[in-house]
Amino acid sequence: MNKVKLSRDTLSAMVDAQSSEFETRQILQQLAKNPDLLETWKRYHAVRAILQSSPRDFSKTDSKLDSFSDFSDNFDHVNPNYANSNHVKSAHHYLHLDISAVVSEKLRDEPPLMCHKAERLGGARLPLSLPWMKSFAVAASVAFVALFGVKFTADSEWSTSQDILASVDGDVNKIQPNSLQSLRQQGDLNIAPFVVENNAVLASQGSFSETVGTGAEIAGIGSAGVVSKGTRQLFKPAHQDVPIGFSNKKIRSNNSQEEVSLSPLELYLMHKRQAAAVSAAGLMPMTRALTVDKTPFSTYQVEIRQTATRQKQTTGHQTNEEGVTFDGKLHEK
Amino acid sequence: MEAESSDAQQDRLMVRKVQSGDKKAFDMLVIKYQHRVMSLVGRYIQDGCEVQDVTQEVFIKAYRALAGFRGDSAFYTWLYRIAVNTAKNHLVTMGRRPPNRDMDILDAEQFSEARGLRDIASPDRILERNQLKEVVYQTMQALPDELREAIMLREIEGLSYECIAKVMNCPIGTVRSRIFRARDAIDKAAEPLLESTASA
Repeated sequence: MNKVKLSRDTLSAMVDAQSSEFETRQILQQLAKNPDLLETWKRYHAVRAILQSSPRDFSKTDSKLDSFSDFSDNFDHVNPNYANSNHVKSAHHYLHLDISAVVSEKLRDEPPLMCHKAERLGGARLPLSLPWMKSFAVAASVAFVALFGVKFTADSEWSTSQDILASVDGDVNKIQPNSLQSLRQQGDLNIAPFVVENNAVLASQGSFSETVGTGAEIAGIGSAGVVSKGTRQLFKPAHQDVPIGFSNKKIRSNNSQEEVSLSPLELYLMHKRQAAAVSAAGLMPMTRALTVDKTPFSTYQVEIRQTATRQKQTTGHQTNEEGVTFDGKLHEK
Repeated sequence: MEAESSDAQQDRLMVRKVQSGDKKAFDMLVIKYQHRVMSLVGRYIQDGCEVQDVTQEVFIKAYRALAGFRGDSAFYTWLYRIAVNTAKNHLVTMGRRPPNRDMDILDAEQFSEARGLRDIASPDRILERNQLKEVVYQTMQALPDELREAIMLREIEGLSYECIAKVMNCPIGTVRSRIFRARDAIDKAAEPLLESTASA
């Protein structure tokens, strides 16, 4: 059986909800590459609807079904009049209608959902249903940071990871870590840092969202999730904990509609709080950030590694035009 | 019951795919549930054109809300709530009174033929539909007995593959293969008509 036939066979089993999880995953993976699969899926459902629309007509074709009545007597869970049942019949008032194309067209301009892995259905989530568990999780995180936080921030390997920024080049599923300089050389506009022309949503969840004001220059992305401009997504995290920084200090809260000036550290902390609010994965960086938040800002040197050129020219940490550098990690002076 | 849990599992995989940015997976869900949702909306709204519009709205709302779907209930249960709320909101917007009592999901499934539901198909559509039925009927008659029996037990009687295997006294894999071959044969015969119906 060739590959196409195998896929159709799996699709047929999927129509009956009898495919294995592995097979379903395979079909879903092939979906983007093979548009025929969706068409076949549509036709199989249409054929099903036709068969169920006039079950008596089709039943006449098969005398062998007589044996079924004997069989069904022995199985309580069998519905001998399945296709005659009201919910099947009434659905066929609309048999001739296919709204899937219209819905697909209407959703064409909608950004694809880019849920954080932990937020997806069935994704790993912390079981924080009991208050004491939440307290325990926070306490454990704080203890962990107290023990290992300083080591992490002093570790030079942390800095090297900051050279990597994420970009979207056409297909958001093909995000590759790139150095900022190489991305700039490619002339790709959708790379960090970019200047926000209109308000950009830094991160959002439900009614809670944070907006970066016009003119802000976003230097990276955070672990909280997607950075979007209007309804168009610009980035998604390529890996955990890529830093976020701003050269423009204006940020506007959706709730207050007021622009307020914040330091890069404050922005970072706000972003991390957002990360913690929207995902379990955000808890850890938030804890780290809150730990250092208690120390006056001036005692830390924060670096934005905006360009590879600057990194070449400098060794160690260097201040930027605003007198402060920020790499998303906080380095003790 | 087994088919239900498999169904829920399948939906869960599709929802996860949509949540990771794959819109095609959402198209699959729309195709799978569009007639059920239309039928449900038709319980509240009698005008066929309005039913279509509201059903579209249901799926668009569902897509936008899908990021927040955590799978605490089955996908269809969640979609059902959206459909009922959207239909009721539509009635309120149109100055009509929504029913006092919410229809239970099982009640909705078992509800007798929708009251006064109008068939909004045009004469052309009705003709196409009848042609399609005729082609399917003829193809069914031309199928080998074991293929016809398998697809009938599945589609008309709603048996699981396991039950069909017992009725036909053959392995489940054979049942699956027979159903696929039958469905594929019907699909090939009906494809030109289905395509013209879709493009009409």
